[in-house]
Amino acid sequence: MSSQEHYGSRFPYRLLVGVVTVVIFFLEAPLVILVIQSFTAESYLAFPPPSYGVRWYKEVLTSEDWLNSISLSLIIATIVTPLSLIFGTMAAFALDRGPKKLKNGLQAIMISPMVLPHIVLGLGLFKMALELDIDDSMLAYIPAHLTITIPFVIISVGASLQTFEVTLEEAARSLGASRFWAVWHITLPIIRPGLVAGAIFSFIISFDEFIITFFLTTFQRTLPIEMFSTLMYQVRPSIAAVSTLTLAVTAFLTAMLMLRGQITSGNKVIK
Amino acid sequence: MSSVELKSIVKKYGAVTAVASIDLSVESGEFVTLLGPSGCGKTTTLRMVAGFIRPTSGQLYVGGSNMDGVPPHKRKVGLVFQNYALFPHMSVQKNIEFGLKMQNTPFEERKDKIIDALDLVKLRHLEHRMPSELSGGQQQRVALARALVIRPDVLLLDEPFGALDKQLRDHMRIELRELQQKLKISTLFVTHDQDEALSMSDRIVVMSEGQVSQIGSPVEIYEKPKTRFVTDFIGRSNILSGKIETEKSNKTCLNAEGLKLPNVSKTSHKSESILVMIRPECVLLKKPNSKNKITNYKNTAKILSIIYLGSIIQYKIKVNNGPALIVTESNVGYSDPKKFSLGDTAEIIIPENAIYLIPG
Amino acid sequence: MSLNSDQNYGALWLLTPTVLLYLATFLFPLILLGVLSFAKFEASITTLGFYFDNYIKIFSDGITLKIFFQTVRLSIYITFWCLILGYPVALLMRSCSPKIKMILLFCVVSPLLTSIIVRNVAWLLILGRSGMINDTLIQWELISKPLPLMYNEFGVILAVVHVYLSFMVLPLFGALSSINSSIEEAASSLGAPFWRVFLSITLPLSLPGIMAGCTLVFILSMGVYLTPVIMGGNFILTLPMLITESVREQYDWPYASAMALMLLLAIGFMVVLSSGLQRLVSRR
Ligand SMILES: Nc1ncnc2c1ncn2[C@@H]1O[C@H](COP(=O)(O)OP(=O)(O)O)[C@@H](O)[C@H]1O
Ligand SMILES: [Mg+2]
Repeated sequence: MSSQEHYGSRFPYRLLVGVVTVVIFFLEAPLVILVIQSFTAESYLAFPPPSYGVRWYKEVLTSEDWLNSISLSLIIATIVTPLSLIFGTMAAFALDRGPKKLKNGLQAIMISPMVLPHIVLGLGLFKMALELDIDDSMLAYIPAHLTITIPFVIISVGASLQTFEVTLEEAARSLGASRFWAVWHITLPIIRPGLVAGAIFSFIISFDEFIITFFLTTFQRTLPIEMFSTLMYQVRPSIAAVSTLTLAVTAFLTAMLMLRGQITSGNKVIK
Repeated sequence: MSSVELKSIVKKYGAVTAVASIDLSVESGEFVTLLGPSGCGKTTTLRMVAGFIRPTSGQLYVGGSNMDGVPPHKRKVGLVFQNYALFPHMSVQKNIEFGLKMQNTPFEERKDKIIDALDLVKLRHLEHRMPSELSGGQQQRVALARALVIRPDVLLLDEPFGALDKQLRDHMRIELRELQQKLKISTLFVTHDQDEALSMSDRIVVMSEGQVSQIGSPVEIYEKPKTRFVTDFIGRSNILSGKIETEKSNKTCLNAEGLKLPNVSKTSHKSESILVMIRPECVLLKKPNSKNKITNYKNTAKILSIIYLGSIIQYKIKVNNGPALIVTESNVGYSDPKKFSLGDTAEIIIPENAIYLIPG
Repeated sequence: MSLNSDQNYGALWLLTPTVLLYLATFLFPLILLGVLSFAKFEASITTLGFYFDNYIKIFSDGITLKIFFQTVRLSIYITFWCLILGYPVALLMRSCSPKIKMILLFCVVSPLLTSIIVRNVAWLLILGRSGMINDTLIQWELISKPLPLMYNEFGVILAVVHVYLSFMVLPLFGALSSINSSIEEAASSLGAPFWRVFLSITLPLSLPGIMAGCTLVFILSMGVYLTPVIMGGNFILTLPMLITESVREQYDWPYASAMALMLLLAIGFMVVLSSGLQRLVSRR
């Protein structure tokens, strides 16, 4: 509170608040409008809708195309998330516990898929999948999605490991726990916020992934691809309903992410 | 049989030598302290015993068996860290239970042992608290209970009281020593605090730059330091360089930078330079012209400064034609704290047994 | 911790699964593209070899280079607007109360977790020919025919800025919060007005964050495919669109590969440039 007034003496605080309010409005308003429009009872999109209803949700949830794509996306994300968590956590441990002088270089390599344009990655993977004749299948989707989700796990778990007190693990080992059990009983429970964050990132990124999967599929359709092709054909209220459903899933997971972080950190301080 | 034995243990990190050939042993039930300034290799030594660092060379025995290649969890050592290292997600009881679980102790036995351990450190009532709900002293006692409950061959403690305030530190010192004597557990204790070392140990190992400077009982270390380093590091002392001289009466005497002292060395080799140590608390200050029959060596000095420290009064004095000395006098009720004021002249008396010649 | 740095090369085996995966999904595919980019594509037949045809085509057909520079130009605009909109947010996040900071952080982080396509749909419903804005304006009889709010650069830039703003704010916030505010206090206590303090202290000290954010947003913008397609229709062509089209419609792998490598090269150039600048700034 005091810092507000403090800063006010050096910068026109009101102006800053005004500008930021506009930016936040710019960020959030479209999504709010989208959600409201999805509840239209009409056969067209308008804002505000002349009448409200869940007509389009019913349509989406009874349409075979939508349901198929939703379940494909859910299946992929559900397979990718635990694998990504395992691979990424192992890598994060290697970076944290390995030789210090190699850490920065190795870390840069391990998270490099993040800065590689997905269009290039998708193109390369598509060619590879064609050569191996695994395109349009899980064998192609899963490794592809893992490649882009693992860096997020490495980053979030790595951040947790950095604040982890290694003496705790040593204490456990001196008490008779092997290295594995020390990590299992002590380290992993303590870095859980990082693990949860990594898992949620993995799930959402896999669930939302478009361009790489777009290359790899021919007949199968994940939810983003189904949305894209519907969109290219016609903008109908069902697309708003599907978008809102997706938004609800990701909002739920994001809320979990924030809540988990608070619960675990609050636990230590208060309880 | 020694509980812990180190034979020519060396640890090098590339070009850095953290520990340069250490030999030491902890006998069964003994309390041994590694004492030395920060960076002298105490932690490294302790962690080699615990098994977290592999020695570059040398032999290490715990409970009589060679520890080469034995991982930490297979060594029977109890470890207590400065930052307590309590598992933050486990209650006091679960923390203590952890080691027992790792040993596959049956449930009933575990319960009894946890209660015993809690009683030992007087924390029975806090069994279900989380570590974050405990004070520093309580946390350290839980850490102690957790290390002791597995009945280790040796208890290792690395500056365990470093994070506590002075009063608590003094208290924990006594408590740990009592506990150790009650359980007769062999203990290797690391500290840079000489008071801690002197008050708790059976034997002290003074370390400097990765090497052992002296091993001995607290009394030996304090009263008969073997090197200048040990003398400097332990307690406050006046260190003077001295020479043997012959007096008119044909007797030999010790001239320490102008301060005439009786020749306590049994030799009479002249002009041999010697290091003379005089502990501040051994020097007596008298009003001039007061009668004394203790020694013929009369030295007078001027009071340069007086510091009142409560239980003691510390003077800095300048001996006439001689060196400056630190002298302390205990503040016993009947002596007048204002015996001297700045600039006063005092007569100083140094008993023969207060003069110690450093061999090194 | 120094305690733990006892030559732990053993820990590196934990990298094996990820490294093996990356070899298969990352390194080999890139090598494949590299090889293909030197192949020849004639009459729908790809001949492997060492031909420069594709690269020559990029520089000589007049259209590829134009689209490349259009992509660069769009990316620069996007980066610029992200900076302009993101800086005030980072500035406020640094100086506001913890509660407001949490709210702002949520607003900034949540887009990272929301589907890009969903956000594009949202803009579509607002900016489209019969979207919210045009509908309302026509209803109020302020305009007679729809304004061209999308299927042009404006719509594409707006929607991409919306997607990538977070990537700008986070590094900016990091850089700003590492500035010791007593430096600014000292300056203003010496009588400097707020804008002098901002221009001579806050802004220069946040330069590393500005460069990190700009580099990130620029790189991401160069590779963006979905948003230009949805918001630009076929009116705004970018390099990623061209790449996708050559593969999916013409099966011209060699040409697409060459363009992909060109994109990589441009991004690599940006990274090198930015890290060079970073070093220059931090050495001052
Ligand atoms: N992992 C390491 N790498 C390099 N040098 C180290 C390492 N650990 C300790 N040292 C060096 O070894 C010496 C002894 O350290 P330490 O045992 O921690 O001292 P103490 O505990 O007595 O303060 C120090 O000079 C320290 O710099
Ligand atoms: Mg130490």
